[in-house]
Amino acid sequence: MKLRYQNKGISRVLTGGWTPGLSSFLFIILALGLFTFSSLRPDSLQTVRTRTTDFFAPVLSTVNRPVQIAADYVRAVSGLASLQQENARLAAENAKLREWYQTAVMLKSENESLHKLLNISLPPDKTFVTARVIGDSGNDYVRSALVLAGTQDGVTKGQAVVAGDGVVGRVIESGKKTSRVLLMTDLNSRIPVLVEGTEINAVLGGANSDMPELLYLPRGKKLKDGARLITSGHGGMFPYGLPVGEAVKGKGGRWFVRTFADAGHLTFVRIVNNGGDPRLHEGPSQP
Amino acid sequence: MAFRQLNPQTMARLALPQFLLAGLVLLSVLSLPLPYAGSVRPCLVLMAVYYWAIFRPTLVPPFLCFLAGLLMDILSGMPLGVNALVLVAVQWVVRGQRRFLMAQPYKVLWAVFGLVVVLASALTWLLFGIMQRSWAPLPPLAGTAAASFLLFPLVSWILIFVHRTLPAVDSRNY
Repeated sequence: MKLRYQNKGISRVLTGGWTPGLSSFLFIILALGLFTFSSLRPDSLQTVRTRTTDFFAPVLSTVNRPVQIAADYVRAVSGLASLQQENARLAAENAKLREWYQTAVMLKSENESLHKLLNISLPPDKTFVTARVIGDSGNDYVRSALVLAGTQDGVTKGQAVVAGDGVVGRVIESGKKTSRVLLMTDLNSRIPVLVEGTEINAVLGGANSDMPELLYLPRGKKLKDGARLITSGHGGMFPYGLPVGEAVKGKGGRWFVRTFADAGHLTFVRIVNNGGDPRLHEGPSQP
Repeated sequence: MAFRQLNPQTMARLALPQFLLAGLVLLSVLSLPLPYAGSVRPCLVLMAVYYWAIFRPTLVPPFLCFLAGLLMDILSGMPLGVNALVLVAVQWVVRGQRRFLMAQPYKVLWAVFGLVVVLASALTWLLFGIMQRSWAPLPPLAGTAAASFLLFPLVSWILIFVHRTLPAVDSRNY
């Protein structure tokens, strides 16, 4: 069967059937305008962004489920080959952890009795919101994740986000039902960290690669390969003491960090609500 | 024959490319925690836009390219307008050359797609750099471009399959 379209009025512009060049030109101008506007005022279109993301959340969440199941299956199958090796490793690790468990129990009771003795007042405990990751920009420009929890669940802009083993990033946008997490591997991510057991402060800077770099290390201080890094709590955005990763020496005296959490393959994350720092104010947006 | 005179089955068949495009947009923003995949994301939507711009440009017109790009921008956290601009521009340029491209064997189409991926990546990189005032590292971009080039046969196989189920059309209107 042969078909011929009769394009009339606005549908001519939309489908570009009659004047394809003109229609393309119009949409290029529109895209350029949008790009310029969002470059000059990055925050002005945030509501549009969060509303649209909220709108698409159910779709993403539904489609995400079978994909996750398939991914789990692939991981399970590809893991079968190294099952025996993995088992031996886990058995060894378990033996070691049992020893640590005894030590931890002892230290905990000792710590509690010392707290009582000193009558110390500590900041209130943090609460967590657990959320499923439904979207993942994972491209070469932006490293961010979309999670299924928003302001209605108590998630607000600026909160720290952790996954199983350590910090993964912070919330940069929160809609009603969804929030966007800027991963610590992103080019724009900066997290103040502290080398555990020392007083060496530094800033963890993302570089769109799997290993973020340690920036602004104080001169003359010696850092050990494999040193554990935790959040320093400076700036008030990240609470003190969240595990981050291990320092790895790179070329040319630069230091990188092997992060505890794998920010590239997230399924669930925990958003830390530490009550917010009353000294924190949002500054003016910079174009 | 006008659109309203088409029977529902023909309409559904004509909507297939749009559904496929929506599926590819979703696939490019979904969380895919696959092992060994790293952060390489092939440009799936670009493949569909390229293919339809050559063979059935009215089914995926500039308006749909703009919409798909805008959705990708919003859902993936990119600066607004970047993907929208790139997709509309690609559709425009490829559509201009479609008479030449349609006459070419598949290998040439594949090679030209390689060129399109490189140009589209360069444009995205440039726009992103202008907006962020810092340039994204280039090696991962090359990886993504290579992955897109290598995956083109697989996606185009699906596109060709969909193309064959579409009703024939009088090309005088293009």
